[in-house]
Amino acid sequence: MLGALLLASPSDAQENAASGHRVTLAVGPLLVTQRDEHASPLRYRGTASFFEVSYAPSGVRRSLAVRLGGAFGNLRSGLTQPDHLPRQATYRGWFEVEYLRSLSTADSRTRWGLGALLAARGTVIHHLYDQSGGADAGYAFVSTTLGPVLSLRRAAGRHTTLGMRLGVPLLAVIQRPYGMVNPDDASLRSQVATMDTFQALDFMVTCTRRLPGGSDITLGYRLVVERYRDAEPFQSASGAVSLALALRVGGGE
Amino acid sequence: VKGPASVATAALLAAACTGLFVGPDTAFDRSALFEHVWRDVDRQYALFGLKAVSWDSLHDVYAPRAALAASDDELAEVVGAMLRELRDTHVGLHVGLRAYVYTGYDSRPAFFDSAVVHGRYVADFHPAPNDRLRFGHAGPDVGYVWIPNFRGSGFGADLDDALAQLRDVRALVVDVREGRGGNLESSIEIARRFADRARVYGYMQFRDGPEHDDLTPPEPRQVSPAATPRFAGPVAVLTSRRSVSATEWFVLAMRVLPNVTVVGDSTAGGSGAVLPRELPNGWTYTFSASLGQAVGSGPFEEVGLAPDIWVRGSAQELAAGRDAALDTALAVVRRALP
Repeated sequence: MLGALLLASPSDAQENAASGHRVTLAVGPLLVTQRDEHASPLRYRGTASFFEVSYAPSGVRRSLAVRLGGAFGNLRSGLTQPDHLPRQATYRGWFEVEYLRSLSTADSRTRWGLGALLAARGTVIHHLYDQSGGADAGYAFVSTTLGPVLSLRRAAGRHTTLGMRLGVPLLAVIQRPYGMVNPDDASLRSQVATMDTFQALDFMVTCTRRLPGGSDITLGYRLVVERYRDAEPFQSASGAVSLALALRVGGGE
Repeated sequence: VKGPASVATAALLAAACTGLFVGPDTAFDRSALFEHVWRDVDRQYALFGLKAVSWDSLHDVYAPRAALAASDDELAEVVGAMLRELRDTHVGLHVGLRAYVYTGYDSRPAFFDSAVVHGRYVADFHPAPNDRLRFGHAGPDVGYVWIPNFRGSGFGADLDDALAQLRDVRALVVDVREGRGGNLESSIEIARRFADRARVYGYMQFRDGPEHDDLTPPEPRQVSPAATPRFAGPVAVLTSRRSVSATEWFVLAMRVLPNVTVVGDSTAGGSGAVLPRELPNGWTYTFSASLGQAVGSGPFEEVGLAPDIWVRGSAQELAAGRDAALDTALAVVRRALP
């Protein structure tokens, strides 16, 4: 998923229980480093832009957040000069459902949460070799993961909250084509992976400022790492700086 | 300021780490480079079933030579020689400006000379706006279109322009004897200007597993009419032993159309979709990622596509200013005129 922002954390939802459901829009730049050895043994790096929309129903002791995002960027290897080919036009998309249960009392200055994150993340790489487009190839990697997530939020002033979230998938279903994506039939092969073959990390820090009217603005940074051991391994790490605006919709509990 | 500063600090620290999580490019020694290429072709090349080569045996032959290579140039010679064993125009190693490729196709004559065409047959021979093709009149009622390759884009627009300027002709000769390949999409873009309805013209199979015969089921390829005006008169497509790759897919798409006759020699037989690959030392190599089949006659790798009317031509005739295949094509389309 590489770089989406956790826009409305469960703690947000708890804090804003009286304010209703939250819809959050986030955008920002993403620094991506990846190596899909289906495509190339070389490491490709570059910047991308991402957006994310999330929805978090209000809750007190338990919370839910649903996030949908996408990113696009052009990556280059160390052998490629700027504005030259080859490059990897990289498209990413993700859908996440996060459930958190509070471990702290509502009046605690520091609040811990523990829950689970179900995430589907897809990466499509269009490897461009020449200007004519006669020899381009597509590659894909999709992971659907499930694992625990730990969150921490701490008040840092009357209107400011610092947050941290860490997710580590324990189980994954990996979907890839055998090699390049068949242009006529983009069928993917599925494989169940545990932590011995698929290691991932989803870490985020946020600084949230309460705005008048119940809205929030959040500055965040999210690091997402995926490493899949295979005959042709896939490795990816991305860091996203995000600016998110959370809006209140509907009524609270 | 404290909160945003904390986020910024974490971001900077983590940003510096993204490269660490993925790691640097693998440094391959010469043996590793050889093994990488051999293994990649072993796992991805789609035409082993048609090539009658033992890829494992070739490894046994060439791996010791690669291990003994004293320089990158020597290693390139070894890898290039191994790839040439596949006798595939889409397979090759590229080291800077040097190419180690199978050259069997290059020695085949096309018996085509644009000077002869221009001098004797098409007086108003001139390029289309995008310079993807050249065209003119080969007589008062017959047009002539020469397509040297299908590289790049803008082919459909060029043919539309040519057909607009050739609106007085009732028959057409499309010459792809020099057809050196290019984009499949560009070649079909041209064929669509002649299609009366959607028709299957061939099949493509992609490598789909580690065994050499692991291929996807044949997937039909269709040519369907373009939105632009269709040329419905008699058409002759001129081919030669040098017509290869995307040009052959063009011939496939044209020859299923009822108003088209293929004249000339059999095509080269390069049916795969080329897949480029790269190595950490800057070398690149290519191979065929798919197997192509013609409707009714199956795979055409190496054997090519037979014409409806076989005319090879000769160097002597060309030297004398005569193009036998073009003469035949002109006679064929004139005969077909109502």
